[in-house]
Amino acid sequence: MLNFTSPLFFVALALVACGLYILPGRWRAAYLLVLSYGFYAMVSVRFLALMVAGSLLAYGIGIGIANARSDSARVRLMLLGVGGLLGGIVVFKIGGAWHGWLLPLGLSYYSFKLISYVIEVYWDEDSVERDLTLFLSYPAFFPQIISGPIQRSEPYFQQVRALAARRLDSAQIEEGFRLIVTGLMLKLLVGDRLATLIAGVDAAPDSFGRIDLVVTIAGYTLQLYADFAGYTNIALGIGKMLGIDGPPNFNAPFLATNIQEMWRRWHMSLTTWLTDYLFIPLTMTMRRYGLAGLLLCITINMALIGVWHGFTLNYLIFGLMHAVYFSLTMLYLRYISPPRGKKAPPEPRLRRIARTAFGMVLTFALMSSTQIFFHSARFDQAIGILRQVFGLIPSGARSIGDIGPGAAETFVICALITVWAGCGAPGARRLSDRIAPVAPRWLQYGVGLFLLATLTPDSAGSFVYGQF
Amino acid sequence: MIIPRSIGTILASLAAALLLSTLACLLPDNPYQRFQLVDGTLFEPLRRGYERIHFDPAPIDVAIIGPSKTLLGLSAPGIEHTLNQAGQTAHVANFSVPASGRNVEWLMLHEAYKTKSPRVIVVGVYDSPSFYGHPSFRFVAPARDLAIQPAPLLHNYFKDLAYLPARQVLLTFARVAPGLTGLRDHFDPATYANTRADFTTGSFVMEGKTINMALTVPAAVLAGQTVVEQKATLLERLTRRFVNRGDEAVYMDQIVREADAHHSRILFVFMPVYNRKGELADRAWLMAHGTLLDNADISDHAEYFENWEHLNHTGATILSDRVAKALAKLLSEPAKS
Amino acid sequence: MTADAIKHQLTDIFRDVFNDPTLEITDEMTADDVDGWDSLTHINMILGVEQGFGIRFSIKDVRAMRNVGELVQAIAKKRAN
Repeated sequence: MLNFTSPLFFVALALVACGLYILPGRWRAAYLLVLSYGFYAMVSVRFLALMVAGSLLAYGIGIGIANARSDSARVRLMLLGVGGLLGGIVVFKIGGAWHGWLLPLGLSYYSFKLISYVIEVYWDEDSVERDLTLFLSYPAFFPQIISGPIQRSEPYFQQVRALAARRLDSAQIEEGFRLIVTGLMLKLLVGDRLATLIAGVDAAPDSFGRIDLVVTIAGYTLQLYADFAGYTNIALGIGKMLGIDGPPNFNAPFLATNIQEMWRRWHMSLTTWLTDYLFIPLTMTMRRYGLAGLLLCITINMALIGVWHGFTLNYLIFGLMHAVYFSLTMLYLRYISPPRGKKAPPEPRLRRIARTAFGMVLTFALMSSTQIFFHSARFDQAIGILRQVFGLIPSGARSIGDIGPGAAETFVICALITVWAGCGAPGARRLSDRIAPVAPRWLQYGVGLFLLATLTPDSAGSFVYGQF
Repeated sequence: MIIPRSIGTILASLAAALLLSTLACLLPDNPYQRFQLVDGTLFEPLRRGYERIHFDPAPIDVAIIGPSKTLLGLSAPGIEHTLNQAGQTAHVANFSVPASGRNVEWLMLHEAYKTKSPRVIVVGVYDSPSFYGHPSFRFVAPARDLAIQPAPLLHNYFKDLAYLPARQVLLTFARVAPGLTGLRDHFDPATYANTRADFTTGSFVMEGKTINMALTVPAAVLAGQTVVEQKATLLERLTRRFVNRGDEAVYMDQIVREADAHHSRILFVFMPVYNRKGELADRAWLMAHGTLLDNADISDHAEYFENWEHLNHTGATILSDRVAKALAKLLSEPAKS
Repeated sequence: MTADAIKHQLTDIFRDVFNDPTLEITDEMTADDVDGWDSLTHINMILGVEQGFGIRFSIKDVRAMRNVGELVQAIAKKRAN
């Protein structure tokens, strides 16, 4: 019922959305709160209490900061709030990674939301939210609780207030529906299929050929994108149907020509959060140390992106690899790469295309190399894969096609679709408009739903990002 | 009240999806490929059963249907041998499949009658049959039998029906490109010869566990294995009360009708379970429609069981012997009118 | 310092930071309008402005500036104090 891919959930969603719009406006914030708490309670009442506690802490701190009369009081309160919330994350992450504790649902996501709120109030007292009902619904907002995106407080409060004052927005609801259908298609039809094939290789990687292993590693990136981007679209779509627009997580990441650009396009709600609340303050504080300081900030930032996913060695290495790639890219762009302005010497078209293509492929390859650590559960597994890729341990003779009938063909088709989607699905909108006279939108959605009903692999998929 | 355009769009798209799904259910399939959908699963015996019926020229005089109790507990070759020694030649085929659910047992019987003429049907009965249908039904049953069932709203009805459009699309694809789906469109006698038909002997893997039929298991171990029955939830109890009599009742009815229509006799075998002497809910009804063979005495003997509800080789030999003797009587009787 | 003088010096800083010798700035310009303006180059730009104008920004100040026009105003305010 709680799974964003189960049909039962969407039946409930339809009823819930009707309820929202039928209710008088002034009850809508409370309705969202009750829904979100009810949703969370179905998972764990104990952890709901934890979330409520954290929310009340942030609420109180926010009001405290806004009412504070001295700067030192404001700083102390802000540090108390941020420290408390961060402490909660750290305790559970360590418990989860080292003692096998069960993680509270959405801990990382709602804690980050609350931390961002506290810091925002600290920077600008006008950001404080005194309406308790409205405030409590922010961290708990159920479409975003499982795997994000991490929305900022200001746009959320603003939209809920607007929601209370208006009738339903038909275009927004349809857009939400479209996002849900396309998100489900990307996650269930493509992401889950890739996951099954990749699991087939993961079971015994050294029985596969080297080339097939490398292709599978590229598959890690593709599967993660299909799964997470698909899921994010579902979450954003659900939010939209309830009148709340959320921040996007992806912006055609496979079009990135360098790692720096890629991080502007991948898991954006997390990276913008870290930029605004960690990276910029940190670099401002360390501005004295020039380039060394900047490199240190990049390393800390990337390492934290890594361990945010879990306090394990693999995630840390993932982060550090990105720190190295990012730093090298930054240095290259600043000191080696020639200036490219609007009036720079014109580059031959072929050369520009080649350079862009090379950049995209290299960026994808670098990203995939870090995925070896992100994807593997244990350090020794990741090292084993690396050693096999570099020929230090022997590879087998199996190929992806040996996993099952049609496996190679399925992999290729899914990979192509994912690459196309990851490049921003060029042409999709135009095609949709072109066939609209013959196949209007509702028929297009209908076909999408039909494909979901008939092509979804029988096994239940899992949200990769739902464990964080 | 004016309905917002988006709601209309959403409803129309749901209707379109429903229509397309219904049309997909009408797609024809190759039954042999359909029965291969259970390959590699616990229900693989169903596929061999299909092959026995449609590709094996040997006739079938006795058809055995039932759950894993009869799959492991009755030996078709053993019964044939005993009958032979008594001077009767009969071909026995065991169509049992693990997990309980009469609907798929009826389906195998129905399938058998298409090309063969069994004279006696052996049905394994026990005291705790399933209320719900068999988990394999949605994979092997023809679309028609999934959509139109003898009793309204059998409990797996909607769950099974939800899989139907996907299955028909897959099977259509399999007819066009069998290589890509792994569902063969031609029969391979060599594979058939190598597929296990007798589960009362030797050692084999089922659901990841290795089962060794030659083992005797100590009584204490067997006693510890007895599964505690799960209490039905309130919702389940309500549905049972008001919706229908459940898979066992409805489809046993169908099995008896099918047998009667083809003038076959029925032998109900009360499958023994270690240390439990339960009672059949519909004993009188069963006895009115066929012969009932009781085996309560076997349930006292730990040495006949491989696990609390399944016989081992010794137990299966004893039970098969009894069944063969009962069959000898039934087979020698004049044909039913 | 006048707004024009500030803008003139700011243009030099921007051209250096964003590696574009032909870049021209406008009041409404934001990060979206310039190729390669991200959090990294943003910091470099802030540092360049601080060094070039001899001022210091707080994090609050940096957050408050939404476009180049507000940046110019902030610089003017800091210089005036």
